[in-house]
Amino acid sequence: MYKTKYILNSSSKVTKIVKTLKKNFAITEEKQFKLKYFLYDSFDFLLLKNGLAVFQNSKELNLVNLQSDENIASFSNQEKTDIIQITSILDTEFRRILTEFVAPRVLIKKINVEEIRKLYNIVNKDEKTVLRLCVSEFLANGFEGKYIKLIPIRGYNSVFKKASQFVEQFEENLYFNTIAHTVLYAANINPDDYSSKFFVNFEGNESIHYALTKILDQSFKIIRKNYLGVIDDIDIEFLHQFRVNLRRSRSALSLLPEVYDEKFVKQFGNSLKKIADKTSRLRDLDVFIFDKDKLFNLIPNELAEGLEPLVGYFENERVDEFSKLHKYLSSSKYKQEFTKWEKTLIKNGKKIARGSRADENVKEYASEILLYEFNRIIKLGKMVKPKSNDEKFHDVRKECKKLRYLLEFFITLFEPTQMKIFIFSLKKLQDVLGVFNDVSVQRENLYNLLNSNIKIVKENRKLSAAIGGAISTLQNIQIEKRNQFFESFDNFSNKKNIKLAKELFGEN
Amino acid sequence: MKTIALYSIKGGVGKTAGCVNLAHLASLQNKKVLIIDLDPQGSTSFYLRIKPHKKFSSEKFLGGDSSKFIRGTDYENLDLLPADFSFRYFDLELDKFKKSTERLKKQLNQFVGEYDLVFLDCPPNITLLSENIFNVADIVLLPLVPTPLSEHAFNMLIKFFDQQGIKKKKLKVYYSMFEKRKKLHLETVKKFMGNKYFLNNFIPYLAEIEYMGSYREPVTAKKINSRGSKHFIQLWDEVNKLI
Repeated sequence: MYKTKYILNSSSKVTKIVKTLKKNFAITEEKQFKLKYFLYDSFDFLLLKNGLAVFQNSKELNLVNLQSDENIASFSNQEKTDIIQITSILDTEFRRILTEFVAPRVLIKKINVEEIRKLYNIVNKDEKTVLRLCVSEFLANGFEGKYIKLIPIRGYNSVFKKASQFVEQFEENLYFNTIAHTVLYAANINPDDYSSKFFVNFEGNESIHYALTKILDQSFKIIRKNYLGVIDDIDIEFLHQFRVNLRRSRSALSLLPEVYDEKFVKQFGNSLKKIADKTSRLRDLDVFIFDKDKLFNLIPNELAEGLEPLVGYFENERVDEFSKLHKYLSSSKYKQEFTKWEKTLIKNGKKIARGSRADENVKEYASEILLYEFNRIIKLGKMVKPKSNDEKFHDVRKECKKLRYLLEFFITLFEPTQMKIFIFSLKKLQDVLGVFNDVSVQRENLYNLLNSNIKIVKENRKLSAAIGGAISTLQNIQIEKRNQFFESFDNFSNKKNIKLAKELFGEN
Repeated sequence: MKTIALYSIKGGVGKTAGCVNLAHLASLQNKKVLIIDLDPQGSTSFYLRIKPHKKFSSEKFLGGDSSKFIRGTDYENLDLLPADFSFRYFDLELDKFKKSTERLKKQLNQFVGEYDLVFLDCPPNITLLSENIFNVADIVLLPLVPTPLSEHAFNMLIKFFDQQGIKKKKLKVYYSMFEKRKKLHLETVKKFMGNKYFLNNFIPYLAEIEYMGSYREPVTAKKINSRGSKHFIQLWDEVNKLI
């Protein structure tokens, strides 16, 4: 079965295409109608990337499989808000399908479309419709567009093929497989534009000074991309990515010593730390509120309900905390500070005061520092014993994180297959240590909460019992991860991996 | 997937008109519907302006993957597997199979998942194919012109179901081409009043239905507000509740 095609083109060309088809086929005009709809997606177009789309018309939300162009589920909804919380979609089937594949927290109105569609039938000598033709004039977020859509009829593929050939005679056509991609293109929205993925490419002949500036510039671009999402409080993912890139920038400054002048590094680092500190509490609250089910699942059912008042308490705190952050990020003080650093990186990167190793070759510098970091993990890891305190595990985790950042920065400088194997072994170790850390932090937070003067904790026995239950389960998980550490570390520090690290980073 | 067979031993009773209109109404309710035209005369295929693929035959239909021979109609959600003239050899073809009365059931299994409803437009006879149809159908819809001859045909069918051990509860009868002004029709209707196999709704004799052969569209598509359409809508509502 051939797939429907959307051909986006200029108005005059669309008219010509229709004329050509009219000359070569028997065409009857069926109907013309107006329609208005909105396209929703997650902040990073997760739905579209998974072959799904959510359209809102005057009456309902429709979840469409873009591959088959079929409506999978509908939910009666007449409110056309800019943001739809997934929890507000009460239709269980709609929600189930949406969350099974993609699991966005919120849907954001991406595009507003007004369309006039004309439908034509291409008929055979029995006047049977053998192909449908849809010609549309539309406004997508105010941008004018016009498309032609050929809709094949089952069993009449040869007509579809022939009509497609006529259309393809016209040069500069743009072909899309779905209406969502068509209108997004017309509105100048590229779903791939939003990506918090960090990537920098080096040839190997650059200086480390140039490389560090490029790394920071890339991180700053991602921070900038997430800024509006944070202050509009659209999805907690924006704040998370905002913070990840602040941390990445700080790590780059500290992990690559003597590249910039020490005074500059200190100033820049302090400035980034100040911004990061302002976001910390909100992120903690986000993790608690949005991952609360994980915490609830740690406790027996009879105790779990005791945690409910705490959720309400933290939700209220989140409102205040967000308001504080919004005020800070909207202030001219923040904007001036951020723009100052941004400008330094983009326009005056070359002029950043140089440290003593600034002119070293990026690959040589990176190799040395990567190998140093690898050896440090091996050394610290070997010092961890089954009875070591938590700090020893944390020390290894921190070094692993540093190595991971370094690998992200310089990945393009080394042999890709070997790097993939090396990163994989590190990732496995980090997975164990990551859970160990999360559980440890969570335990500490809950313990502090239990000993705090917060009224609802002090006066609510059920809540105290629930917190106690959670701490106990977390402790068991932590013990489990302690035991798993030794196996993961053995894999990471085996002879093969040490040899691989030496091959990659230069010590033969 | 449910299967509804429009069946009658007698020809010219409005079987094809019933099949096309009921299937069209089902497709309007967002159900994925397939009509299989089993009658070599190909009346359903004619009504829907569809010709079969040159390579299609009764042998292909009973022996392999028929989905590539399905054609889309002019109506959304409604497809047709058109009849081929070779369908007159159905019984000969069926006889070649070990479980010859279950062959159609096996073949229809390939459409499970793709269609919600399959309508079978059956040829007017009582043969090995008919047994296949009775075995696979969830509902056997029998259009009956209220005359003594049709009454006789109905009684024959009941007897046949009994003999073959086919569940009679799947048999549902509706009056077709009913004319109130005809005394004979009224007498027959009266006779069967309250019979458990008979549906409450009927299709009257109407020129607009007879003209379907001329405009080659379901009356429910051509004139949705017409009298004929209203009767088909009422009949479909009643049948739909039985599914």
